[in-house]
Amino acid sequence: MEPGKISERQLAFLMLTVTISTVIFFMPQIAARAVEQDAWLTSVIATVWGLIVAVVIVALARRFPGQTFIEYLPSILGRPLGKLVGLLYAFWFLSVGAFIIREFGMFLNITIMPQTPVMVFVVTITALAFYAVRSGLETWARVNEILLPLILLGVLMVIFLPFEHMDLRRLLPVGVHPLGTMLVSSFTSASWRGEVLLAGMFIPALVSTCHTSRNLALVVIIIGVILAAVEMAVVAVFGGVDAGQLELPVFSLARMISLARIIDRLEAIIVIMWVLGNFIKVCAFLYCSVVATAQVLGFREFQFLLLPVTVLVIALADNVLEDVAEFTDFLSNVWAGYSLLSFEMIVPLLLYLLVLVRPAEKRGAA
Amino acid sequence: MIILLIFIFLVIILIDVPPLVKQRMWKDLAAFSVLFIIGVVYSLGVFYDWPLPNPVKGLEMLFRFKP
Amino acid sequence: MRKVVVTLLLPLLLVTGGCWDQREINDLAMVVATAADVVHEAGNEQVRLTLQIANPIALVPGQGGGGGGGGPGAPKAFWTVAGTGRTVRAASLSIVERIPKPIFFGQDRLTLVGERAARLGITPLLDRPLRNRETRRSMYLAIARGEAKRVLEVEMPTFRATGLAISNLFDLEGGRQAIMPVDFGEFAYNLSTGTTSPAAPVVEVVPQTSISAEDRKSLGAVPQAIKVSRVAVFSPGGKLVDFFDEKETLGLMWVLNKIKTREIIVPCPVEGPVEPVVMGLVRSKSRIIVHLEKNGLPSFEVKVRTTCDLWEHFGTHPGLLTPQYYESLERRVNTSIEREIMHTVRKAQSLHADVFGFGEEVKRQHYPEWKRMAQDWPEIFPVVKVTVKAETGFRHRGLSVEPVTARKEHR
Repeated sequence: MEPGKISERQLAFLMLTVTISTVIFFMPQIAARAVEQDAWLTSVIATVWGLIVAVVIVALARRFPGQTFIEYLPSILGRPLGKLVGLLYAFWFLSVGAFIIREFGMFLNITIMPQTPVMVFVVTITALAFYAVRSGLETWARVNEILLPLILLGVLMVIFLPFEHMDLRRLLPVGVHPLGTMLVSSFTSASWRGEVLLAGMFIPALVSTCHTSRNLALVVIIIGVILAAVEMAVVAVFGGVDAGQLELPVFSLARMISLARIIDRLEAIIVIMWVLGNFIKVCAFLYCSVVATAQVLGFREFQFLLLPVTVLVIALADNVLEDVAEFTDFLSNVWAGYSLLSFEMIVPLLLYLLVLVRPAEKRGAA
Repeated sequence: MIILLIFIFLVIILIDVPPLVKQRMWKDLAAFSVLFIIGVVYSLGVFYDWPLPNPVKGLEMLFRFKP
Repeated sequence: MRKVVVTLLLPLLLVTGGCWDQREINDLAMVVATAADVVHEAGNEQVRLTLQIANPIALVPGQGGGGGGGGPGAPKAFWTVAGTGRTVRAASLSIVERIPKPIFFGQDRLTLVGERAARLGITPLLDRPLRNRETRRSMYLAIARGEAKRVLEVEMPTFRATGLAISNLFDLEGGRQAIMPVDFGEFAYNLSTGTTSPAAPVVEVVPQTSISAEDRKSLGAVPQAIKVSRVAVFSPGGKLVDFFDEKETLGLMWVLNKIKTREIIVPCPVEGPVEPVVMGLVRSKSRIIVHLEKNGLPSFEVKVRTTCDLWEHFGTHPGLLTPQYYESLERRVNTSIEREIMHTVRKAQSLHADVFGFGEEVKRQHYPEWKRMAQDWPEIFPVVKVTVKAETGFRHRGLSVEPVTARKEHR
């Protein structure tokens, strides 16, 4: 299906960009609203869930070498059920892609361009992603290798440069919120981490697979550390209560940066990070939804489906979540159930258990 | 605006459909058409404010997670 | 083919900068300071917003009237405009009718709130600056004695716009004497805790202390100037409670770690108050330790560590060179610091205003107990026991060892 080949490092970089480019913007607010100064602890707990997803998806791929997640679903569940679940996954990729595109436009509306219609952003980023995906997986995986260091540099600047406004004592007391609340918040946090599930669609395109599980586990841990650092910085600057009351706390964090009134007004960094990261993220989801659709329907090619799916994703992006209140509500109350607790962690885990208890059938199918 | 949209749709059809027809890939053409029609209907729905079902509303009911 | 398409598309780049939100800096009315008052107008309380808008030509040194001090034909450094409305936003909308350019708040460095507005409650006035994506949380907040509008109307020829002058004062001189800069972020944080009383510096309009002979002839009245000193104390709900005087402000600044440098005048250990010794503070760091008493109430130990230099000494008694002399000076500095802080603590307790963030410290250090007392904190704070322990280290005495006349006297 996919003619291109990517290296293991490219896959790890891809997963890093995909997960980090949105989580650091939305999660601090949700976590701080739930557990105030303990926000960073939820990121640490979420790493556990993220690791489960990473390990399970690689273990499944090991059982069915050369096949994507969608391709081996029928081998595990049987043909009709496997196709149905595959279709649900294709829709999942598509809908999450639509959310991301809408979220992309909304972010730019809030932060720098309030007058520009959201559809301008939606169409632009999707057209760009369409062009990238059409050029092949190898192409945008390589582009990502250039973009990710820039994004990470931006993240580090935003974490460390507002040091003048930080009071680390605002992180105290540590761990005083009930475990239940922290767990719920960690599910939301891990929902982004669970996007390493996408690796299941890329593993067949890998040149070698000897370090895949180590790499993906590292990706999950690195994102956990970065997210925890971002949340600590946000709480240290704004305090636990206020951090939960800010729309996009990280943007406000970047606005606090002022070094001797010379290095000033750095919120452009945030916007650059956002645009670059989301471009790759949209590419990944667009690619996965197209490939998944093609594979569920049993085609050997996917390029001819790219255009209609792009049109569909734009149309969906315009229909989903009209305003920021709906969005925050979706992210804090629905997102965990829609991703981690169903598609990302529970279903793959069940699949893996099925594979384990029915080893004979697996061999027959493969 | 609407003319531009229809123009874009026509371009998409012109690019993707002829090779499929030429190679007699009818199944592929069917899949293409279904996806494309849904996309077109939703895009036009944006312009004419058609009361189309919003898939997100259903999702929210189904997956709302509030312990 | 491809080259042709690219060439045709390239000119499009010229028109894409900024999309719908393109704004040229020359087309904007640049606000450098805002003042919010609450006035009684047309039968109800109205917010009156005053904007100080900088004249970009006058801001460039050497051009226009900026450097020359403003001859008769020179462009004015700033322009003020006021509008009233039910809310801050409504008031700024009523200003739109009077300015030919879009108002731009991105360079706003200072928000002043009038005394009356602060007494009625500052929170409604803060929402708009905190929500707006142009203004920043690092913007300074200050309370004006009387009406805030009057502060922005003061002209300071050498320093251009008053708003810029005050924000420069905070940037460069903050932490000296009783100048305590407070930005929106900090004020908002204190309000968000629900127990800490925020404090904000006070700006007043005062008569200029010295004017040139020429001005005295030509001007009828004494020109006005501004003075920044002391703080205004708010209730945790955001209503102005009282003003601290200079000494109380200094005591507060010790605890909040806001002091950069200042002098501490102590009586000479040998000759007493007739020969005061001026010690200069180099750095200080304070920390609050919370102990729980047997009766369940917290008690607070404020520890201040400072480093001092000798800045001024003109007593010429023997023993100036001995380390013991400087140790006794250190002890006197300690006593002086402890007294200042205790003075402020008593004042704050009488106002029921936890300006130090003692409540926050209980929360940080004894969370389970804090949950019990959080509700009653305004009643608990006035009766808690506070002790202060200062520890001063002497460093050096500048470029002189003894006063010039000391050797002769000793002989």
